[in-house]
Amino acid sequence: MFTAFADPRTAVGVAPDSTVHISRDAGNAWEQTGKVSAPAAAITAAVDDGGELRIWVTTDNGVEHSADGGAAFNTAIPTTSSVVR
Amino acid sequence: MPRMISTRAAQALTGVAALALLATACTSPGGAAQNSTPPATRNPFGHVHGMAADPDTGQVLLATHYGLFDVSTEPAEKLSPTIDLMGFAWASPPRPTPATSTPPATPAQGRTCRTLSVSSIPTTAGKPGHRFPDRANPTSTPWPPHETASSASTANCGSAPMARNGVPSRPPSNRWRWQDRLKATSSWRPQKTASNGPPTGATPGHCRTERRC
Repeated sequence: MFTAFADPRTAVGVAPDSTVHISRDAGNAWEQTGKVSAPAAAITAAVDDGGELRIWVTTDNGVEHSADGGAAFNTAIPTTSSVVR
Repeated sequence: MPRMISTRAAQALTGVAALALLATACTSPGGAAQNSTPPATRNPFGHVHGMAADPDTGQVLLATHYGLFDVSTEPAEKLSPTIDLMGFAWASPPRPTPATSTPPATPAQGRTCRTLSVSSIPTTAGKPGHRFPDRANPTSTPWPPHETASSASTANCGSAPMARNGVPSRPPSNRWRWQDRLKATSSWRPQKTASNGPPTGATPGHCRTERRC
């Protein structure tokens, strides 16, 4: 499982089956909150100024983002490419 | 204190540039790393090893097989040289506090690299002809000198002998091992000083190279 901390107590993780999990006690207990659309390669998270947990997960379909604490994900960065070098 | 991200920045992240992400292995069947030049395909990233969202700038950074990319712009921007970033962690830039209201200097954003030790494997690793260092037999290794006298930042290095003759510096804790390597691979010998103590200059471990990627 890939994991990341949003703050010292809030951790998020994405499992091989694409399910997303959250721990609010620094990793002791975990609960499944949602699922991304494809197997993941990386995850990161942050708390916004409204106190909402935001999660980004890179998957085979692109970067998927959740603005509701991991309940629902949408593809924020779809799968085509354009890069300035 | 929790990491905070503005709602506007988070919204901006949802409309950013496109990319392709392939969760493939990092080496070819033959074992050679594919970290030289991205193939001319629609995917310039290879596969992703790590990511970070910067709460201050709204950036989403991807550490990939072909380097560090900022994908929060359209088009995405390649920040680093072509390098296989197998591991990646973002240390958020320091923020002003009430006691120090002066904003910090603009971070390098991944455009400059600093060699902190010589234990890292050069980007040529895995290519034909490359040999990994054999720590058990220093004289048999190619030992590429990453940090040479010509490339090291002399501002902090002074006359530190550890940066001479193309010999990289080492942290003090590894000095004994490095001196063993010096005897085997270099004609350089420590300078004698009046105090017969260690040479003057910066601590060898502080003599680091910073270059533009």
